[in-house]
Amino acid sequence: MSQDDGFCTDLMRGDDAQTGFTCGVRALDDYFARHAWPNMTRGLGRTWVYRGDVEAGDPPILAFYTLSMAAADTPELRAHLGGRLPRYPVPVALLGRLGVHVQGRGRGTGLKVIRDAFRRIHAAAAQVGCAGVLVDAKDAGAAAWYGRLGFVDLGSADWPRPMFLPQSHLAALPGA
Amino acid sequence: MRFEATLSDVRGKVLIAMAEDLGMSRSQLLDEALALWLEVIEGRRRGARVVVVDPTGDQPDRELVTPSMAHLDWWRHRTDRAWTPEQLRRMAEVLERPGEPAEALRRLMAGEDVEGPEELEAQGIGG
Repeated sequence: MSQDDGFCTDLMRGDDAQTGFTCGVRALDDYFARHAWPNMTRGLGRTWVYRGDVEAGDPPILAFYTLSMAAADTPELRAHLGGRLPRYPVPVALLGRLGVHVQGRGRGTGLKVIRDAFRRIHAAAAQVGCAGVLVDAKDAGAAAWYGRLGFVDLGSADWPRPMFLPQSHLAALPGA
Repeated sequence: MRFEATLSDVRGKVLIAMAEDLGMSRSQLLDEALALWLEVIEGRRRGARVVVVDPTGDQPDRELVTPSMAHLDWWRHRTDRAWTPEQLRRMAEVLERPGEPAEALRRLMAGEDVEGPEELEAQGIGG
């Protein structure tokens, strides 16, 4: 469990999938309801959830995000970096999906969830090594927002567009 | 085969003391330790875990995890992606010259207000 000023996320449970999470994007809603938990059980990533205060009228799940590992092909990178990389592919953390329930909007929920994800990535990087964070910006608006955080567009003509934040940026910040 | 390695003073002293305690040469001790470690790594690649079981049953089992074992776990569960040479070139540039964290990232991680993604929340950020 992660806590920050009362904000906490925890790992998705099997029964979370049937709580009617609705962020307004059919693909994300469908992913959460049908694929997030099976992917968890197969070890294909981790889905973290921010639970709402049901007694106060919140939905059971206010937001979720998924983290998994991807790998960058080392020979290609080594060619650019002059052999200063290990022989195995370079691990990067993939912030794959993030959804905020329609009732969770306007509370800064998205920011808190992203901060929570960055902290988890930073903590994991200290254990296993991680070159940075990868996101797939779905459109120009998302790309601009990630760009303000320092994500670099890796160059793609299509959407979603991969963007990369070096781990050193998170490591340099006291709140990470 | 002769093999050289550099250990910290603390680790080296422990190794020498353990070899004496067990009545083994340092080479025998390292050979046995390496054999065990290779078994651990091969098992971890298959998803096996290393657990210490308390002989009295009074204490809970303890799982042993090292950074390299955790790395294998992440690697085993990685998401396969197709990278273009241009994407890898750009990533290499960023890793080579990462620069300083952006002000918005500083503010975000400090828990301060950042021009929020509320308009993006409606669409799902990056999803």
